[in-house]
Amino acid sequence: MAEQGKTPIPKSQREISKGLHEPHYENQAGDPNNVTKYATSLADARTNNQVIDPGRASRISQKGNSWKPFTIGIKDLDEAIKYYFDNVINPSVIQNGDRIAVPTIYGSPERWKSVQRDGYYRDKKGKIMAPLIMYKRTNIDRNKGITNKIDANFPQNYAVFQQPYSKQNFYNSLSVLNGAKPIKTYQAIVIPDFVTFTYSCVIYTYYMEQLNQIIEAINYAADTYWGNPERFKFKAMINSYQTITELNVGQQRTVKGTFDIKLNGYIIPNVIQKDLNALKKFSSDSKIIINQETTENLTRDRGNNFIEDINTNLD
Amino acid sequence: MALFGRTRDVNLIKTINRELLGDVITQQCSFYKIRLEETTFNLYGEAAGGKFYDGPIIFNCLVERSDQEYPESDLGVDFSWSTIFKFLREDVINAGIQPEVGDIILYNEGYYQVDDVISNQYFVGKDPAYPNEPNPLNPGLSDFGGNLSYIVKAHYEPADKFGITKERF
Repeated sequence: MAEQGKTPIPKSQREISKGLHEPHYENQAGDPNNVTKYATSLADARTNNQVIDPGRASRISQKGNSWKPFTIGIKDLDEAIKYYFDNVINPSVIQNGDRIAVPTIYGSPERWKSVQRDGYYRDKKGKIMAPLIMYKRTNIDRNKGITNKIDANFPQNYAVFQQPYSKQNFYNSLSVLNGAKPIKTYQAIVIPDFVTFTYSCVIYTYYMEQLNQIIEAINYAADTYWGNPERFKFKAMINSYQTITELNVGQQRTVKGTFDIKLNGYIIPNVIQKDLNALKKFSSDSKIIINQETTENLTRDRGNNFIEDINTNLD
Repeated sequence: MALFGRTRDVNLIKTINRELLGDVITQQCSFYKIRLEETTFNLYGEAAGGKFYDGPIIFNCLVERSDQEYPESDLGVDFSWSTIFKFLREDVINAGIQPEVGDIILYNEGYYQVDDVISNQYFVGKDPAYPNEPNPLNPGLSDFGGNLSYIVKAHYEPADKFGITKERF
């Protein structure tokens, strides 16, 4: 009866998710999603498949952060290519007396999108109009020659950024008088996975003269850093261009240029494993003054669920 | 002298066909002929700066359409459509046109570039352009036979390629 009239508190997504977990090795290693006991060393953690105690210093709330977890996905690299084509290289050709911009598309779109949405490079009957640049990612190579995070289970290498301002520790003139220094907050980001992306590109034009113009523009931008300067830039390398002129029976004459872009990039994924294991935020050293501390019962955790009563031993 | 296929017979066939194309079938297309004197080309043999045309000249014709096709490539779904246009030869000649490969035909808001020009529908198998005269044993051969049609095979081209209408903005 006492429960009646109370507003029910809905479970959070995390609580619902945890309730659905059924770990296979709960008896041996515990539920990793509901940690009640941490391993005391790295060796123990690996032997017993336990979660290592990251220490209280790393348990900093993410509440109130003005930044998102730093991630760079594969899509960010793909977008860097398109941004650079559209906004920096900005290729154009002269056709029938008009200068027209060359649109860039990602290859092999869905059929409906290709036919019904991409009308800006199609005529009334749906025929693709040139010029057009198509690019498509064909390969992702891991680049192991550069540093790495060492171990995905226990990342060891981080890049650290100091946050310029923290409203919880603002610095004012009174702080100067008292000799207090604000605590600095640092953002820790796992060293990314370095990769080399390969993109296959096709320049499709009506005329060789137009193809020449576009290749000249792209070649000028080769071996530089491509991407949005307000986001990420990656070094893009182009080694060669192939030009093809096709004149098939009963078909349109096509002039194509193909080339590959090698993009040196890196990935910091937004995955749950990284969220669980990696350090994300820490603070600089601070001073804590404890004037008085009292306790009623002194106990010590000896492990194996044995709680030692220190009061008894003291007696 | 040949027995069949005199000019009167040929004219009968032409008149019937003209009436059929113009009053019964009533299919039409427009013909654009490239003006060679004004259209300049570059090193690669292409008129990238633009083409100039004579026309359009509207003809009654017989249009034999194939099915539209939607080939797919990395660029997405494309469009292609091959069509055969059959003209009464005398109409085309009277308009001062000689259809050739590379000319443009406008049909149902689509532009078609000519791939093949076939002109071998000879009445009684004889082309009057080659009368085989003088022939002392068989005089008057130039009055026989007839070349009746132009059959033009063409493929669909993107509309902006020719610059006749504004397609990209």
